[in-house]
Amino acid sequence: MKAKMSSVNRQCLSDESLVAVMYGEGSTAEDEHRLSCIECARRFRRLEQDMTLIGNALSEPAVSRLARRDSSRRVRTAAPRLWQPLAAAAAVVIGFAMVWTQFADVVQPQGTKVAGEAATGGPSRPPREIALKGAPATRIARAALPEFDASVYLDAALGGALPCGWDDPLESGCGAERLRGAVSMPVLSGGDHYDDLYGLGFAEGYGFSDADYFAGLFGVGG
Amino acid sequence: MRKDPKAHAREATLAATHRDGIARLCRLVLGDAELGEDVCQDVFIKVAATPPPDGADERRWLARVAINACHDVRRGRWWKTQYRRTDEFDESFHENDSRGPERCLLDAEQRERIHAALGELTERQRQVFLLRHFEGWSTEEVAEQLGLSAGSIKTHLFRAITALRDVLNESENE
Repeated sequence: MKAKMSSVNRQCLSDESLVAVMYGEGSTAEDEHRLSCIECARRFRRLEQDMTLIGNALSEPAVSRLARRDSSRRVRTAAPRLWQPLAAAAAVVIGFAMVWTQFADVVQPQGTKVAGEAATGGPSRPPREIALKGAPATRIARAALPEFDASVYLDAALGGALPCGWDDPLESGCGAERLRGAVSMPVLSGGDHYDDLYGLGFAEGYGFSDADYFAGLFGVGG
Repeated sequence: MRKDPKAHAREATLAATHRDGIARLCRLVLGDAELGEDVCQDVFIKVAATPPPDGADERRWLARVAINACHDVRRGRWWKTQYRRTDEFDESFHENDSRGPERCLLDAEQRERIHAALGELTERQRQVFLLRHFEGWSTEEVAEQLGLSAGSIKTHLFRAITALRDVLNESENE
């Protein structure tokens, strides 16, 4: 006991011991040390001050939003949460199935052909064919609306054709002077599907870029 | 059937003496002023049905009932699934005060932070702190009420105090 007292008296009290002393649960030695040690006395006073402040703060009601509740605070949350992940999973599965169906219907035959040529070391094909093969199915599906033959359209684009139905009002029509001698793009029935294809070609990483387009238009490059 | 006037008077005395303290305890345990009021009302309704035994420490008896009622609320399905706090504008937060607007705002912010810090404590830490610090229960009494060991109570209390002091010192340093 003596040894313990002397060791306590030599060393400053831990924060935990100070808390115990504050609540009257410290040992006699700890209490004595607190009275004799300037540093521990200072820390003890600080602890008491803090606890007084905390006590005062908590004695008053929380003034604002953090602890106040009114009728609108009892907000129904999004109810049972189990259905949410299930619904999300179902939506993903349905979306994937729809995309897959369209992809299989529209692109698979052409893609198979291209793949076959590649395997037999056949003629090199323009990058946009490959692009079509690898393009996102949603875009393919959008481009492949009824009465639209993508390969014809792409061949024309390769040859430098410009689309009819250009959006720019100053360049409307398919005048020869505007096309600068390029072959006119086949007109698609039923609307301006070129935009779909054009958008597809511009997609990054699919090989049908501005450079391709203008190279074809002006007869430059391969 | 009319109630015994003596019992009625005792209830009134209990409510007058302890209502504010029990309401504060409920409010702090639940971290919600109005819900605390509701639970406090429930406590006094229960007390009306089952008054504290003669000779019992009324305040402690009421605090026990209040703590158990708060437990029930927090354990309830409603609390777990539908209770959600929302941030709302509160005029009282901005009300005028003789201390001057800046001091008033600082005090209010500090109070908010301390209340928020209390809300961040674990339920055990909060209960231990409130019973030990506000209700003045001994470590053994808190341990008995919460079914924990005395050592565990001391640890919870120390952690709670440390967390609250950290918040206080942070706001003072800003």
